Amino acid sequence: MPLTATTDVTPPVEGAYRPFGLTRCTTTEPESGYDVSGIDYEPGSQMSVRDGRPLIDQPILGTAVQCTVTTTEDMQAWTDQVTDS
Amino acid sequence: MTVLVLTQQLDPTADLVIRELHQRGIPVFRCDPGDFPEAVELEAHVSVTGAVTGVLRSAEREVDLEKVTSVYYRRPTPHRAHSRLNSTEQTWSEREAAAGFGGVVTTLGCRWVNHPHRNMAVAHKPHQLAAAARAGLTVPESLITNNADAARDFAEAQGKAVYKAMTGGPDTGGEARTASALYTTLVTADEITPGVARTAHLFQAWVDKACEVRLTVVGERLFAARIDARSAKAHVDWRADYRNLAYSPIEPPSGVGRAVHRLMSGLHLTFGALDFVVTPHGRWVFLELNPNGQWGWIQLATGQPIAAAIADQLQESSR
Repeated sequence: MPLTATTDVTPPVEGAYRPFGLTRCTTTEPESGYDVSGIDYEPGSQMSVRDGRPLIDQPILGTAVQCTVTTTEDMQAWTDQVTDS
Repeated sequence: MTVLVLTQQLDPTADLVIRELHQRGIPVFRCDPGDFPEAVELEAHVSVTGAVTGVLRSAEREVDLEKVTSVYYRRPTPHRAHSRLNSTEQTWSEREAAAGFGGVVTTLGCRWVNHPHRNMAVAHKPHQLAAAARAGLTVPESLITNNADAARDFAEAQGKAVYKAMTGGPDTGGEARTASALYTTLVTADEITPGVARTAHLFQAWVDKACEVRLTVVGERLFAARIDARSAKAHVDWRADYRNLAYSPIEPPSGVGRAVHRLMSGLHLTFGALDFVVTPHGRWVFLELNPNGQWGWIQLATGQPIAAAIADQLQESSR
């Protein structure tokens, strides 16, 4: 489709991802990163550990697991906040 | 018997399943395909009869491919070539790695949760919506277009409409090549610009909601978790404000359950994470299906034994 004088090619607002065809979008808080300090992989159990204990047996409030784009396809990336049971 | 778990190293969700398998005494070989070719070795033979034999080998263990009875396909990372190759060589190395490694594992005659080709086939929202409606689920009126006038007409006609990205937001760049999150946005006709012409846009009728439901399907088992929003942002898209959500188990209506089973069977999926809106009148409206969606936090929040159900599926051998 050829560009016309009325075609909007305004780049997204800096620092925020805005859909091409909208004047705004739902924004989120900037990611502060995930606290993965002290988390290791234990080859014997083939699971993650922290302080020598399985990560999944410990309170991990605030630790988010990021879905990444897989080798084939992923639906959408969102942070997976795991909370205390 | 061995279960092959294909996922990245830090994946507590996969850990939940691996622990279940350990408790059942079922051998596990965990591998991130991204570690091939540099940290994982493959020796696979394809015989003249089509038999695939050989081994997959990591620094700690190896598995006979013929002993792999099921595969849990979770969060594999892209293949990573040697860092000292130039960019052209890296691209080629990674492409060949994907063809070789992927080509071998995807042809193993065993049970998959889920097979990546099945995931790819249902990856796109328009496909899911059509399949869900044909299976008997209620879906919102939807428009996929790159025509701004059509988009505005749709928004006007619906009264209240939303925009949804179909693949998340633009890549954030860097090594992870992660798509940024781009959440559902309420939109009026005058907020739609000619920029619609730049790509496909998905618009849907807004569905009034009493609550939302994440329905995790594992084989014949349905685990429905009611999600109540406690903020305006979460009310539009619960993924946008995890801190203001409440979860509780809920039983889906029998008609919804039957339709979900028809949908999953038609799509040849064993696992799925389905999102529903429940209207104030109690109607369940299907929004989307993620064939590889996250579920770990739902289990921890509700106590629903999703990991055990996945382990049950992996324990069933098709060999």
